[in-house]
Amino acid sequence: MLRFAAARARQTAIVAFVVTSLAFVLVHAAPGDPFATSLDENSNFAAARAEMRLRYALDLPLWQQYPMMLANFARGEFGTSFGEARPVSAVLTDVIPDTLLLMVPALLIGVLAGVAVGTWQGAHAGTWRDRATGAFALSVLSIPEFLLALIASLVFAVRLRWFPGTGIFSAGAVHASWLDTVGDYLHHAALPVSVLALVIGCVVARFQRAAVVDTLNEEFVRTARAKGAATRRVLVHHVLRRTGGSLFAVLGLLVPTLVGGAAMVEMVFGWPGAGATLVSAVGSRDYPLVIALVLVGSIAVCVGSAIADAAAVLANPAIRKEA
Amino acid sequence: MSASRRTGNVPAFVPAFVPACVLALFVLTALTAQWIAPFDPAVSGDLVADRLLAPSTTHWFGTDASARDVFSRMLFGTQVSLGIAALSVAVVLLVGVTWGVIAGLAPAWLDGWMMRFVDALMATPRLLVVLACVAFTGRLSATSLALLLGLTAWPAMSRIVRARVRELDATDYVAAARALGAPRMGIAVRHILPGVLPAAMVTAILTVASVIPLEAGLSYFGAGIAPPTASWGVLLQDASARPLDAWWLLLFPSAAIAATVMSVNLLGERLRGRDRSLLAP
Amino acid sequence: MKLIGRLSVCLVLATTAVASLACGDVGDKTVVISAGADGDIALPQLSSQTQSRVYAELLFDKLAEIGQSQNTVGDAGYVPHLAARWDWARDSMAITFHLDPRAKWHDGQALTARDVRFAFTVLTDPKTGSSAGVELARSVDSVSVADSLTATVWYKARSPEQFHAVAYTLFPLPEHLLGNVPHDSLKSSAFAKAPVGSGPFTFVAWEQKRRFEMAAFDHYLLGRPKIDRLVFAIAGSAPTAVRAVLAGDADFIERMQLEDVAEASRLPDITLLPLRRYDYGVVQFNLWTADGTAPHPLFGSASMRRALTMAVDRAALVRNVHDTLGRPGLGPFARLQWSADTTLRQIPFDVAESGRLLDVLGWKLGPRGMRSKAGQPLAFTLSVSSSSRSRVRYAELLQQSFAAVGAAVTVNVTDMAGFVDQLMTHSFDAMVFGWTATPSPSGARQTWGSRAFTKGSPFNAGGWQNATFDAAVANALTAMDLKNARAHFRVAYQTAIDDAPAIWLYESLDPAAASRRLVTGEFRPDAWWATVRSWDVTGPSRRPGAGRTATP
Repeated sequence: MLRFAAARARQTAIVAFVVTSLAFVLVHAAPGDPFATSLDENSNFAAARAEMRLRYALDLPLWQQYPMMLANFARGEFGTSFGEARPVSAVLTDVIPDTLLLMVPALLIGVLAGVAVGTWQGAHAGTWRDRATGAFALSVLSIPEFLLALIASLVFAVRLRWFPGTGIFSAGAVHASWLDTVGDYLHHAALPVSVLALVIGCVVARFQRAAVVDTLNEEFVRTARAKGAATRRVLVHHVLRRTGGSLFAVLGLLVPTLVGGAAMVEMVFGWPGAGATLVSAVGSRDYPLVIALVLVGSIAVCVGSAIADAAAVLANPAIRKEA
Repeated sequence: MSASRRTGNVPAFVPAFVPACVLALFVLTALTAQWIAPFDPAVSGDLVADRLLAPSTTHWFGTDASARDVFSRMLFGTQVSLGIAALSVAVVLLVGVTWGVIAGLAPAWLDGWMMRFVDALMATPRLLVVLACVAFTGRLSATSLALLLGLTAWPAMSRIVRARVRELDATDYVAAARALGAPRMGIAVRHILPGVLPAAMVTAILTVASVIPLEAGLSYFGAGIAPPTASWGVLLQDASARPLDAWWLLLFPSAAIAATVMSVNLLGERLRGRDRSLLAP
Repeated sequence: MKLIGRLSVCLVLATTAVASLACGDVGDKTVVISAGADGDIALPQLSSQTQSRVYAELLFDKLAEIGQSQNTVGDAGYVPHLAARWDWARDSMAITFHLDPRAKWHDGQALTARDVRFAFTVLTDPKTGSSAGVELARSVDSVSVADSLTATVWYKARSPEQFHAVAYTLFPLPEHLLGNVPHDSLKSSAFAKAPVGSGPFTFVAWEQKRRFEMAAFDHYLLGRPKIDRLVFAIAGSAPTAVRAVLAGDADFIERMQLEDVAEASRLPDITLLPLRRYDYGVVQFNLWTADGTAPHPLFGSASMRRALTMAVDRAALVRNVHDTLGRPGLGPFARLQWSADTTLRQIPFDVAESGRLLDVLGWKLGPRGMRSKAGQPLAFTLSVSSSSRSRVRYAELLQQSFAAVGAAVTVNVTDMAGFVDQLMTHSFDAMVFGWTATPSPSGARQTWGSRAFTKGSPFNAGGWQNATFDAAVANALTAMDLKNARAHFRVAYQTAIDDAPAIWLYESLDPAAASRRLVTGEFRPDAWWATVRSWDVTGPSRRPGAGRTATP
C-alpha cells in the first residue's frame, strides 16, 4: 500500500510538472492581450497596458519568468490575477468550494442512483424494463452535457420558473438562518446537480449492469442461488461486494472527463466555480489564473483517481495481491 | 456473443447493421454534401423575407437567422464534424498504437516510464488542455482542433494496445517465431500488429463518441470551430439563443450528434463483445 | 427499484419543502442588476472597464450632470449636483463652482472645495495613470480653493465644451482619506475596492466576479434613492447574464442579446426597454501593411474602399441582424451627438458601379466570379470578435456581399483578447467592430484623427490620415458658436464618408430588459446607470429569500 501511495505521488508530481510547463509555454506564446476588456472611446488603453506589463514583468525573457513561477507555486503563490487584480490564491479559495458544491452532490447522487439502477437492471437483465432503461441511459449519454444543461435551464428556469437559472444563491438575498441558506442553495443547485448527476448516473448504471450480469453468471453466485439464497440477498452480499472494486476503477478513469463536463454545466448555469472561471480566464488571457486553475484541476484529478484506485484495491482482494 | 444475447445487453437487441447503416449514411452525406445540398450553405436568401423560416418543402430543415438553408448547412456541417472526428481518430490510432506496441515490447524500465507518462496524460482533463491551447492561438483551425483532440485522446488507446501486445507476446507462436530467430521488428509487424488491430479499431470507433460532443461543446462556447464554417457545434451555437421558438435550429444538429454518438457506442460495444479489457473511458 | 423510488420521492419532497420555506418574502426594496462581466476597481476615471465605470459613477458624484438633452456646449441643460451653482469669468478663462453645503461623503465628512482640487491634482498626475486626466490637463491649468465651498477651475484656452470637459470628467475625491496614498498606488489601494464616495449609493460589499452590493445613501444631496439596496450579480458571460433576467433571478440587464429579444417578449413578467445609444459599428479598413511601412495593397486606395462600400446593402444587413433595433450608420458619429447630420451624401449601394470601379482599378473578373489582378486574387481577411454575436453575423453577411462583386473574403473570428491584439498591433486587413461614442463629438478626433494612429493604441487603428478631416474637426472644436461648429463637423464627416476609411455599418438600439416590478423612467443615453437613483420597485421579487431585512 505504501508503494502504491509513493507511485501515485510520483505520478501526481509528473502531471504537475508536465501541465505547468505546457500551460506556461502555451499561455505565454499567446497573441492575445491580457489587459483588454473595454473598447470605449476615451478609455485609457495604451497606458493601462504598459503599466500592467510592467507590473507583471511580462517583458522579461521567458526563461527568467519560469523558474520564478515554479518557485512561487511551491510556496502556493500563484501571482496576481490580471483580471481581478487580487492574488490568484484568493480566487482559488473562492471558486474551488463552489465547484465542490456542484460536483460532490452530483457525484454522490449519480453514483448511488447509477449503482442502484444498474444492479436492478442486471438482476432483471433481458426484460423490457431493463432494455428501456438501458436505451434511456444510452440516449442521455449521446447528448453533450452542455446541451442537456441548456435545455434544462430554458425549460425549467426560463419557461416554467420552477428553479433559478443562475448562481448558487439568490443575488441580494439576506438569509435569516442557516436553514434559509441551505434552502436557497438547494433551490439553485437542483438543476445543475441533476444534469450532472444524470450523466454520471447513466455511465455508472451501464457499467454496473454489465458487471452484475457477469457476476451473476459466475460459479459462486450460481452456487449461492442454487443453495436457495434470496435474489436480493445474493445481490447485496455477493454481487455488490464483487463489483465494487471495478466500479471505483471506472470512476477513477471517469474523473478527468467529469471535470470537463462539470465546467460546461457551470458555464451554462452561471455557477461561479473553477470551470467557468477557467473559461473566462482563457478569454481574457489571465495568464496566472489559467496556469493555476489548470494545475490545480489536474492535481485534483490525479488525487481523485488515486483515491478511486485505492478504493478499488481495497475493495477487491484480487487486485490487492497484484499491487 | 451468445451469453450477451441471453443476458440482453441493449446493443445485443439492436441488430448491428442499424448503427452501421446510420453511420454509413452520415459518412455518405459528408462525402457527397457538395452534390446533394440543394442550396449553397454560405449564401443567404432574401435577408428579410427568408430568415427563420420553419421547415417546408423548399427548406427541409428551415432557414436560420441569416436566411441560409439549414439542411444544406447540416450537410456541410456533417462534413466538418465527421472530418474532425476522422482526423483525430487517425491521430489516436497512429500515436496510440505506436506507443502501445513499443511499450509492450520494450524492456521493463522503459515500459514503466512510457506508461507513467500515459497515466499522467490520462489524468489531465482534456478540456483544460484544449482550452489552454485556445488561449495560445486565439482560435484553432478545424485541422488543428482535430489534431489537438486526437493528441489528447491517444493514451487510452495505448493502454489497451499495450495490454494486448503483452498478451500476444506471451503466446506460443510469438515465442516460436522468436526461437526461430525472427528479428524483433519483424515479429512486431508480422505477428503482433495484426493481433492488436481489432482491439485498436474498436477503441478507435469508441473514440469518435468522445470527440464529437467535445467539438460541439467547444464550438458552442466559442472555443472551437468558428463561423462561417458550419460544424454541428457551430449550428448549435446558432440555435442556442432561440431554441424554444426556432426549434428546427436546435433539433437537427442535436439529433445528428445524438444519432452519431449512439450509433458509435452501439457498434463499438457490439464489436467489443464482452472483452472487459477494452473498457475505455 | 422500490428503494430508488422512495429515495427520489424523498429528495423531491425535501427540495420542494425547503424551497417553499425559503420563498416567503416581503420587502425592503432590493434591485438586482445582471451583468456579464465584473470590473476591476470602483474608482472614477481610473479603469478602462465598463463595469468599473458603472460602480464608480453610482458611488461618486460629479459637480454637475449632463442633462437628458445631452448638450455638451456651454452649460445649457446641465443639472447642479455637488455644485449648487457656478459662475463664468468674464473672459471665460475660469469657472467658479459653489458647492452645495449639504454635500457629504459617505463617512459623514463634509465635501469641500479642497476635495475638488485634490481630485484634479490626482487625476492629472501622469503617475496616476488616467488618460481622461491627461486629456483634462490639456485644457485646464489648475484648480484653486477660495473657501471650503468655492473652487475655481482655471483654463488654458477657451472652447465651446470647456464646461463639459470638467463637469463630465472630474469627480471630487475625499482628500481626508486619500491624501496620504501615493498616486501611483491608488489603483491598487484598498480604497479602490471599497471606496467612500459621495454618490447616491454607498459601498456595502464586493465579491469579485460574483456580486457588488450598494445601499442607498440616506444623506444624498438630491434625495435618498427610492430603492434600498442595489446588487450587481455577475453572471460570467453575456448569454448567462441575459438568462438570469429571463429566469427571474435578476431585475434588470442593460443590454439584451438580440437573439433573446423574441424569448423575452414572450415572458409576461419581463419588459423590454428602449434605450437611446451612442453605439455605432463599422467595417474598418487597414490602410497600411502590418509593419506599417507601406500602403496596404488593397485598402491603400480610396477607390477600392469606395468600391467595397458600394457592394454593401447596409439597410438590408441592418434589417436582418438588428431588425428594428438598429439603423444604418451615417459616418464617424452617432445620431445622438449634437453634431450629427443625416443629410450627408452617402456612398450608395450599387453593385454595378462597384464592379465598374474594380474593373477600372484593374481587378478583372475571373472564371468563378472572383476578381484578380496580375495573378493576384482579390482577397482579404475580415476580423471580428466572437464576443458579439451580432457582429459575427454582420461579418458573415459582409462576406457574401463582397463575394457578389468578386472579392474573396475570409472571416476570422477570434475571442476578444485576440481581437484586441490585432487592433492594437494593427495586424488586420479589415475588421468589424463597434465604438461607443460620447455625448461630446470631440471623441471623433481621438477615434479617427491622424494623431491617434500609433502602435499600441486601438484608436484609428486603420491609420487613416486626412488633413482636411483633422483641420475641420479642430475648427469645429474651437468654433465659438454652434452653427459654425456644425458646419465644420459637416465638412469633416463628409470627408470621412467620401474617403471611406471604414464602412459606416450600423447604429444599434439594443434594448434593456427589466422585470415588470421595476419602475425605471427615462434612461440617459450616455450612462444608463445615471438615473438608477430614481428607480423604484412595485411588487415583491420571486427570488427566494430576497427582500428579507437582515437581522443583526
